[in-house]
Amino acid sequence: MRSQAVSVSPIRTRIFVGTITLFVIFSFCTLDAEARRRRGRDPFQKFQTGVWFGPITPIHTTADDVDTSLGGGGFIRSASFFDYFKIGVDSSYQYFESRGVNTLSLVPVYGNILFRIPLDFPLIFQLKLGAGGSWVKIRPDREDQWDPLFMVGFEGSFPAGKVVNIGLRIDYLLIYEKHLEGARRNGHIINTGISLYFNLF
Amino acid sequence: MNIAKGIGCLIGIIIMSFAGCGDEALFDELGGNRLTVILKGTYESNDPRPWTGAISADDSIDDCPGTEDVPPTKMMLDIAEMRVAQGKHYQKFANYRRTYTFPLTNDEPFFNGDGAEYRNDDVRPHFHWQTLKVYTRKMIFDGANQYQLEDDGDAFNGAGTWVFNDEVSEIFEEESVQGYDVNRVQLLTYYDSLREYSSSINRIFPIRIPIIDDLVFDDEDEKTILEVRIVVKNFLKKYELDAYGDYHYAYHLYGFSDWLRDINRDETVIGGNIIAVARSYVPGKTVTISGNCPAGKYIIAFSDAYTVSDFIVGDRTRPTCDEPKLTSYVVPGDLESLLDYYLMFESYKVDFNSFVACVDDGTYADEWEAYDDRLGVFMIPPLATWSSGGTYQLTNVPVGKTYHLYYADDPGSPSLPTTFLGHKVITVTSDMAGQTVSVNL
Repeated sequence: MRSQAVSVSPIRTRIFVGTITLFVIFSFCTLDAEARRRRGRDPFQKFQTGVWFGPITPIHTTADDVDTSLGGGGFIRSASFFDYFKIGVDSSYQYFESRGVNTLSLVPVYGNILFRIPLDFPLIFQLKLGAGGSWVKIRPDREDQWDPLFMVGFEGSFPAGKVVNIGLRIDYLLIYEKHLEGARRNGHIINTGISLYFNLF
Repeated sequence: MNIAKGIGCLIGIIIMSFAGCGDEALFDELGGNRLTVILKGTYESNDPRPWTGAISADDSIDDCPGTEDVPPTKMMLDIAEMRVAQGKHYQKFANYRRTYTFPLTNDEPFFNGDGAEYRNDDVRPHFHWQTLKVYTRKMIFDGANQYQLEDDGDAFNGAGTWVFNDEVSEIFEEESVQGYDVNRVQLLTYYDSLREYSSSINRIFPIRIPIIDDLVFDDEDEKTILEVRIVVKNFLKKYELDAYGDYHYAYHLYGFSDWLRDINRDETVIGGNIIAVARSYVPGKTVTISGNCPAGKYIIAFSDAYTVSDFIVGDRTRPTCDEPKLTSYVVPGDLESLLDYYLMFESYKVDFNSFVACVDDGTYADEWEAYDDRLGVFMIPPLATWSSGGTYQLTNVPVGKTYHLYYADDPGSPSLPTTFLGHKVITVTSDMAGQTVSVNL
């Protein structure tokens, strides 16, 4: 018999919402003087927001159950106190179907640290490492829950003016469930797509 | 201050990772399925009767003697998908095409009571699914031959010579195989072909199979079995279908017995004789019912929701008001045959005029509709076995129900039991799961 599903208690929900709020506030609070001075020289160092869209691909064991689809999402980024490092928050909506009746819905929400590779080059390359959570829903079982998520990724972009950058991204998302008793699988997703950055302030 | 803010950001990320996490292994659930579909080709749900031997010839074989005919050795089955349904509401749960080749032997799992698995996903839980729709693309039995009628050189003996032309072949699994696809002639019954909207009738895509006691899938159970039984074993016959072109052709083929809907000579369809049933059970929540019984009998069981009359077919006699067939044919180059044909045609006209009379007075429609109503509700019982010695056992009997048991005489192959005797009742409660319950018949 599988374990009983645990519904998220109101207290845990409050902790979760509060943490998100705190994290967003902290991200904005990196707008200190040093960061402002750097941003004045390089538009890419400004506070950024953006969107992405492209193919989302299940891999490894997840590819046995659902098929490639299209997905998209958004992100915000801010410069940090270290040169070449930024902090960001990403989220997206990803829906996968299959040949059969299985479907998988994901809403990843995670923070990440981005490292800009120091190259004197018109293109900008960034490595990303992050963690967070993902809402996972499966059908036809009609079960859903939040799972821990870890990600690693790479982005390349070029400026299309001072405000806009256009780029390509590729991210690997690991939705971790093996810490659960009896679980033998994790979720493995590759996100690829075109990104549009807006360098704000 | 910067360091504090940075550390706060990282702590936020970590806490966010684990706040509100569930404890279900959803990706395991996505990858696996708790419902398993098992296909069986037997009347019996366990311990089926062995193959009885020779396959009888139907009375539709009236033209060609079939000197090269051999018995079939295998059945080839091509299923496109399966769906479950309740009324007009349905769910696709087995959208995977699958082909099978089953040797007609007692060791083959499809015929020995074990069954063959069909790939599927889970169905919507806690919903009463009443019908299983099986979308069959092909059902091929080998041993099919084509003959043609040729001139025997004597123009006045009224006869010709049936010459073996070739083995009939079909495409199966992208290869040419020897056999005849009976699926194409299962589309309609003879009754269907008489009806005004016959062009929209389709009996085999899908085959609608009743699920006895419904399928109520509980996704908390580790495993649920949906057992699907199509009566093939000891239920085959040899038929003759005619075709006309450069010659009069006769096809000798094997298909499901016409025990339920009789096939007459010179008819073009042999449908309505696929008899099937489905049932579900949860391994671990079942009992075995066993006991003593008369030898050489079929033992059946069904729950309180049904009565024995649900499994007894009404009068299978075809209506007397039936379209006559012109059964004579002309042998090429034979004058005697041509004269016989004209005489038979006159007789046919007399018969046809009588037929028109019973059509006009409504007898035709009434009889055929009543015929199909009687036969259309026939089902085979969910639990059945064969007792060769003086004992029997019925396995995987779901708990929580009251069962009625009967035994029936051997009707002879290729027929099904119609008279059930020795009524016994047993109530199987949940605490009896895993046990063997004794009921002597």
